[in-house]
Amino acid sequence: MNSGLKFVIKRLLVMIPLLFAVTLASYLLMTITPGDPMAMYVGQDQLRQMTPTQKEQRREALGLNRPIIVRYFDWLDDILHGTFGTSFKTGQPIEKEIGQRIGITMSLNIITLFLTYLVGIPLGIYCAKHKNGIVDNAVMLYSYVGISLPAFWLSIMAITLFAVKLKWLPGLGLSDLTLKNPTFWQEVWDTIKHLIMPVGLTVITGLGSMARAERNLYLDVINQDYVRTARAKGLPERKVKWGHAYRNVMLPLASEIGGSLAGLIGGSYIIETIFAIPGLGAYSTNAILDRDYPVIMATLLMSSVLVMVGYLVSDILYCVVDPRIRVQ
Amino acid sequence: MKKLLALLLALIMVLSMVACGAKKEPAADDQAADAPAADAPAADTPAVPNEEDVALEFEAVAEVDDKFGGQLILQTWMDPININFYADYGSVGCSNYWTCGPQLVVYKGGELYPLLLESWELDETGLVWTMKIRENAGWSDGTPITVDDIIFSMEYFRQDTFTDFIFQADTMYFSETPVYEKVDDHTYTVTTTVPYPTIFDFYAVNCFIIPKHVFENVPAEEFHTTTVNSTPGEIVCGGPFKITEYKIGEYIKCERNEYFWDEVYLDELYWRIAPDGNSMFTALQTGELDFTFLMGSKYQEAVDAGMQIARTNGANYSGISMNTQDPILSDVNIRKAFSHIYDQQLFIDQAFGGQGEINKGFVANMRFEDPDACVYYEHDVEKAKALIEESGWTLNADGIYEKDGQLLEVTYIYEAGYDDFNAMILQSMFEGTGVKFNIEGQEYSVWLDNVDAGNYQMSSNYSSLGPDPANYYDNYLNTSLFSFYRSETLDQAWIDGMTGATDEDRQAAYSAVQHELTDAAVWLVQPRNWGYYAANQTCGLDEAQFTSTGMFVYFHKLYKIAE
Repeated sequence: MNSGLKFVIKRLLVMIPLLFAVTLASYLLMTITPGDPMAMYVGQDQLRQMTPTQKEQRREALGLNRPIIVRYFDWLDDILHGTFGTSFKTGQPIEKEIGQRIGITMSLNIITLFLTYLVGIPLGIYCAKHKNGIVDNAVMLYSYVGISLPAFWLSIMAITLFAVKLKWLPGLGLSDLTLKNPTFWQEVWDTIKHLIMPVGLTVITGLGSMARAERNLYLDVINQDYVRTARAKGLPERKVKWGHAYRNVMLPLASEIGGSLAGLIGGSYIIETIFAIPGLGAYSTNAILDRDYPVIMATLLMSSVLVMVGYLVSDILYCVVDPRIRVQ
Repeated sequence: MKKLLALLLALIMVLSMVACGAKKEPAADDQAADAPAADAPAADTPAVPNEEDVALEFEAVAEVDDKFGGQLILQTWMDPININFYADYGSVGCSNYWTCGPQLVVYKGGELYPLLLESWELDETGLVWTMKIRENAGWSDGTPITVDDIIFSMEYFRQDTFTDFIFQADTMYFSETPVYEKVDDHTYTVTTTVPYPTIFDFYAVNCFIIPKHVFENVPAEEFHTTTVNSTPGEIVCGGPFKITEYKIGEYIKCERNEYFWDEVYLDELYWRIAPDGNSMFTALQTGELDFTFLMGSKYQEAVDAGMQIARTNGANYSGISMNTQDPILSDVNIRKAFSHIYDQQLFIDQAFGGQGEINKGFVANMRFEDPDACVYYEHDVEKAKALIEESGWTLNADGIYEKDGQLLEVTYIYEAGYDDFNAMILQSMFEGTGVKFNIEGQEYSVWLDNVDAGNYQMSSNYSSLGPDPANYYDNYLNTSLFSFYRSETLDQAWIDGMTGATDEDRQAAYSAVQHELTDAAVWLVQPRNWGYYAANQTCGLDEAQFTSTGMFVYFHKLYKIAE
């Protein structure tokens, strides 16, 4: 077995106790916080009219009458049998509910991530090459503004301008309900129109910091001894950049890409809420507000797995872009 | 080349998203939507009592010759818990029931409107109602709606195994169960041993008629989780519309039910899911929504945008309980003093943005409301101080009232995250009055447990009610909602109100209730908050009207003005 495969298997095995610890701690914390899930699914008037026996029946039906640790191992048993269980709120299988939302959130976040990298990296490199130029200064200023502007405010402003005033773009959901029997391409165009603002705004808010990070990395790398040495050896500039500079600039990006994996699932609650996009971000946040323990645990488990897998991917990408790490 | 690849990848992502959200309904449903209304059974015009007397909140927006066709988009806050709306009355199923369920009657203010129930008659004993339902009413699968469905529904929700108390309203006001008997397919009788005037309140608010042929084999305990009647396009509906499509997080699409007993104007009605107040208002402005609830803060903006605005005085009560079993608050003088300290106008200005009015009693905007019978406590701090001092309290050096070494100190508990701002306003009212007033936000279920167990001094207290004060009775029995105040005369007055043979009898009983409760100052009566509904100019609401709860009296008379 080669060392690379050994490394991956070892890391995967380490994930098992880690996941166990994370989920157990989360489950305990979640269940000891104040709040009765049973009370969340009954109107206040009705809840007050329920007899203690009826309340107990409800708790029993939700499995809340058993000790916490027993409930945790029941949940674990479900996971080992390949199911997330059923939602307290809807009584539906959680994997089905996640399946209905995951595509939307992942597509939204993949497009966003892709566009942020696509524009952010070249822009950062351009700024580095033209340090203290007009574009560089503008991007640096923009990066601070981009970080400072709250996403919800920017979203509301964008909706007011593009949807309400100019009427160029829709401001809600993913479908135009006035479309009559749309063709496939009409639906595609309709979806794109609905995505422009949420995707655009997420890209805009993330772009500045991405470009700034990239610029600083490039400046750091381009002044390294090995780059100077490469130039001194008489290598053509193209080879210096692609063979020595850019490759090292990519190194920290590898860790960022890995870290972004969890975000692909988690989604952006603010954007999803403001634009009424039915994704996983809104789903998991509502689950927290509703004390829907099985859903909270399902989304938490997915996020934990993705964070761990993300770091594993980062490490593998490190090895790909930096042979020194591969040797170690 | 690289750019081209990038664009291609983006396109693939978008296409995958379209595919993820692809419509689930079969193509046949689209064809059904285009089916001509000519197939529908001949419509009867419902006999609407005193229709001309009912003021329209919305102005008639235009003269419309042809109101048939088109689609209207209404707003709802969240996804249904179950798209089988009969089993989901607690969330948005409520909206769906009104759109797609066979509603018997509806109240607007004190006015009763017949829907599926065409006429009714009380015999000379006052104990037997004879009810007649429309003969041309049908479920959306073509099965006629008959008395069998009604009697089945009543019996179904009375089953002991049926754990959902929401549906037990039939037996709500009585120790006995009303007896339903079939006369023919479209006539039935309801018999009780005492007069049953609240039957229409039950029919209008808490009664659910379900299709017998669909649910007769579904055990009551499986009603909420059954997969029967849960496929859009196949859900059997008895209202003006049927559910044909549901896209999670986006919308519920309803199409005209060809078997409804009256003409239905619209081809399609959508419930668009807009969980956020701002997005909802924006969607109304952009035309992505036609009609929605309006937050008070958006009122002026909506007026400026030229929308149709209607004010509604919700049939809710909202008061602040003063626990009459608390050592300090058991003194009626203290409760009355607090009522004088409470400044309704300040609350209207600060909490409602000026959109509300002072309330005298607690049966606001309901039948049998009698402000003259209520004892009203105008905002007057000096009167409050006099009452407190009358009870033997004196100001100490810190400016706080004290008696026998005990400070006049109370704590107000409320649901954290929901009532925080209101709590702060309330606290500000007590500043400088000699009362030490503390506020404490608690997690919802913790707060509710404390209130129900009587572990509180003062607490927020609000409830949604139907059009008849009889709705309060259960809350009265649940003593925490009435600050643990009980009296024999009040017990009897409630019963008299529910069983009064005439409206005059009932009014007298409910006036007595209103007097006693306000005289005992069991609550700080809060002002009534106006709610608003807004519609864009293409939405035809004049005939449909709507109730104080935002539901239309006639969903089937909604229409869209052709643009």
